[in-house]
Amino acid sequence: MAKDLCSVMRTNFDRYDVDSKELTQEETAGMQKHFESCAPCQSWLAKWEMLRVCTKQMEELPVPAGLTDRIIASIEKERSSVSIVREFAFAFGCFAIFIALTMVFGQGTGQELLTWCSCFVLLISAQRLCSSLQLGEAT
Amino acid sequence: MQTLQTYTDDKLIELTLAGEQRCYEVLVRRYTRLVFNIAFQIVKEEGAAADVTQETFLKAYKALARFRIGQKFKPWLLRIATNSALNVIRASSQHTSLDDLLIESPADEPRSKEDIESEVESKMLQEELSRVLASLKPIHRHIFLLRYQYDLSYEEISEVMNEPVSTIKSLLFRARTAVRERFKEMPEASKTER
Ligand SMILES: [Zn+2]
Repeated sequence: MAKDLCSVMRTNFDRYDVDSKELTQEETAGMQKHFESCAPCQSWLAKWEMLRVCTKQMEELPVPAGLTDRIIASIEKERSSVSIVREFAFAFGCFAIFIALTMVFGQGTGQELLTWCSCFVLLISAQRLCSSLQLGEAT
Repeated sequence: MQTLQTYTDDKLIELTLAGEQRCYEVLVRRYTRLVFNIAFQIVKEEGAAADVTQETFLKAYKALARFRIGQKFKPWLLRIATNSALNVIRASSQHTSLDDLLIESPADEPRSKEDIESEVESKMLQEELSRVLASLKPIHRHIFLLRYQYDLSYEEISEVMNEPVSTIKSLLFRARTAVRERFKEMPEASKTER
């Protein structure tokens, strides 16, 4: 009979993690009362506590050399590839606007178009130069 | 950089999203060891765990815009790590779903009483525990360690595993029972629980 009670208490202890407060106050009190008065359960609890502490103190593997740097490098690569895509999208957007403006307000001559294109290429080169300088500073 | 390390995860994410890329680097340094160890628990191979760790941080970085500030970053990151590690296992053929991870392999069977008794008495408790944990079903080992080694709450484990809290409780119950039953130092526990 006592063994059955021990079994019930221990199963409850396992099923309802003490910290989770799933059991009612009465149930928790009943469990505590049993554990306090039952030597085999006390030893069982002590062993569980030992296992728990031991698990907590289990050694973790060290991070392999260079892994963190590898991760950071891969993120940097991702970031720059995303920004290149954005730059290209921006560049094409600007180009389309330039062409449209030339068509609407200019005479649409080849020479005028060439001037606009040169300005555009200069602008993009300046922007690329600025961002690579910024990147150099950050790293 | 010195002060960035004292920032909360939320603050670092906010700053990363605002263009402060160095802040994500702080998060990477903060969690690399944890993610690597969690991945290793699942894939059981250092090189593969390293790849999973890298993939995890990259996926998290790409998905960062979808991260809700106020949500906890650690379980969110560990969920990505767990899924990536499970994908590695699935790709290596023997498992196809989380349920399949519940199926015990012959190597997971508890060792016989004779084997345990014949073990050298001076064996360290830590080693014994490692052995017991290694003998658990992968899903039980994973959840047990998330709870007792890394101190994650039921809710956090539920988020990591993408399973309801009730499932996590049930799995953790089974994991605890299995640890006790297999731990040679606890004979009376296994007697009463059967
Ligand atoms: Zn008892």
